[in-house]
Amino acid sequence: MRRVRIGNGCGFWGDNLDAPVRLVRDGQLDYLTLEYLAELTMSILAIQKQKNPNLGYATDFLDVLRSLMPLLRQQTQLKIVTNAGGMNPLGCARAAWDLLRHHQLDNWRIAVVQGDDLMPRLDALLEEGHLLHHLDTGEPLTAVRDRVVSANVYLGAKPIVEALKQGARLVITGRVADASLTVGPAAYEFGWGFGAADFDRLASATVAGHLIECGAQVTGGLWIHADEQTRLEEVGYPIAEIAEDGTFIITKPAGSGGIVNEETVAEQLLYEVADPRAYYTPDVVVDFTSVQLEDQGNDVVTIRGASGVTATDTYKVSIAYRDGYMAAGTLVIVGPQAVSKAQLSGRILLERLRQAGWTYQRSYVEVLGAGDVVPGVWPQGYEPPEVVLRVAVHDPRREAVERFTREFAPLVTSGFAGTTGYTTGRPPVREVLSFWPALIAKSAVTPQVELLP
Amino acid sequence: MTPPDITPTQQIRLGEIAHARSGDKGNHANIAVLAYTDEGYAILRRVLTAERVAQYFASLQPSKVERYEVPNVRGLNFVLYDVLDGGASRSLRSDSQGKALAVALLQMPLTLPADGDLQRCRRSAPTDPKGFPPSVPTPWRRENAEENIESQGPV
Repeated sequence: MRRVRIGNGCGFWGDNLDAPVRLVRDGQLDYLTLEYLAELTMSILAIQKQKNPNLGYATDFLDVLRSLMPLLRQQTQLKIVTNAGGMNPLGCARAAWDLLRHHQLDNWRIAVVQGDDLMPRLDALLEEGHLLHHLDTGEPLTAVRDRVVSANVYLGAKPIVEALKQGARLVITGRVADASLTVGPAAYEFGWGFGAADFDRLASATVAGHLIECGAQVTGGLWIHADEQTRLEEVGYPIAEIAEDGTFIITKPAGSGGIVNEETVAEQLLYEVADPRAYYTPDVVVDFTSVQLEDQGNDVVTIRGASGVTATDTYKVSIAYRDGYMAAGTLVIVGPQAVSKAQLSGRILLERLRQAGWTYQRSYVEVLGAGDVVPGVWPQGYEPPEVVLRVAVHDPRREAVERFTREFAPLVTSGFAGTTGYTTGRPPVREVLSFWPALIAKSAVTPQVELLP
Repeated sequence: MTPPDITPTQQIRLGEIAHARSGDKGNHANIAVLAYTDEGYAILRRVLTAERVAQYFASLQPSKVERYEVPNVRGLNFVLYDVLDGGASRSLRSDSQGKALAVALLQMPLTLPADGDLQRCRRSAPTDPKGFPPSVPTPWRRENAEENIESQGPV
């Protein structure tokens, strides 16, 4: 039976820059996928594009592509599928094209998948009755319309299949469901359709994509038993080797660090999942309780039996809107009663601001080392010799949050004995972009595939 | 007169019979708890209820906790609603994405009957990745595959 080997070298924007090179060098891949877009990455990219129309994509991808050049020359079978396009897939593709041409790889065809960006026609859509109600609260988007920064549909695998059919070696998308980056290549290689006869195979490839989309999280990262022996310092990134019938294995390059076993796969199977019987993607709805894992040893786990049913007639939409400013700063408090002194220092900091006329929409004091990260669940009575005080605020007024960031340093001289750790200077103020999940009818969205050159 | 409870019991932590992973979905978090053995899973299905988990994380003030059974991986998947202080983008807490909830839940005290069940609930697989038998065949490896993808070029 034919198999296609798909490796994911990036789980989010900011992931290890060397991982894709090691994965391509040692992974014997047919496809490399690179996943850059977390829930709110699009809104950050949207703001970058507002400032500079040539930006708005994951620029890390160009560094990765540059580092891959020698391997791309050797591995003439390899294709790359990435959502690095972000808010500007065409701009990303043009920059990638320049880079490939500069390295004499001008035989590479690049496909750009677009149509996910609803921003240019948001008002028209609202007028047509697509109200984009908040999935949790049911509120219509009009409540925050004037503050919306980005609105992107999660497209599926179909336009990726189309791009590969047109001969693309590099497929650059905007917002696409993470698992569809894997489903696309599998469906193309095996000629799967998107009808009822293909649901189980699409479901299986979706499970594969879901398992590898977060990179090292399935190869030993976050595994509860990871230790020194796991060699996370040279952790291998994951590979899904998918057979024509949809059955697949999860593995990693031979000799790399990390581990693939039934535990790492089972933990990742349910990562960020709500109802495991209904995992929604634009391609298929998957029943995660149907899959059978079999640990073959030597970092190979076989996954069989995935079943799926027809996808819904809606796409998920990820909307971000401007929601004020926030900052969080820290100080270290050492010595007897460090916990209570830290708590009091936090209150003093906020009280000094109040006396200066600044109160905040939201504020939060945490004592790290005293069990505050998950408050209320750790046993009480332990007195740590030192703790980290962390204070965070959120407010619509930027100047109020700026003022807050200046209140940490004074505590080094006017606080309690043992106050230290003011080493990183004033904490940065960042704009808050809040998340508004919604659905839209698939009929209102048209995915597009464009080829370069 | 009520007869004294003579059933011997033992106190353990959830982490002795299960592993877990947690993550976020907007302002909600999920925690997947995976029992090491079938015996352990049978116990967890009985004792690790949604109410119990809601009570354990009461300080996070979940608006609702749902439990889904995932028997194929001996799993219980808990969804904790509205526990992330607004979610990744606007939470003021360090753990804005609920990453720490799994290890926190594994510290939960559980009371088990002390009749030897615990041994059958504990993990038996070697922790050391080198401990896997080296002789297990790996028929799916590329070097053993009979056919290659048609686009495969010289490597």
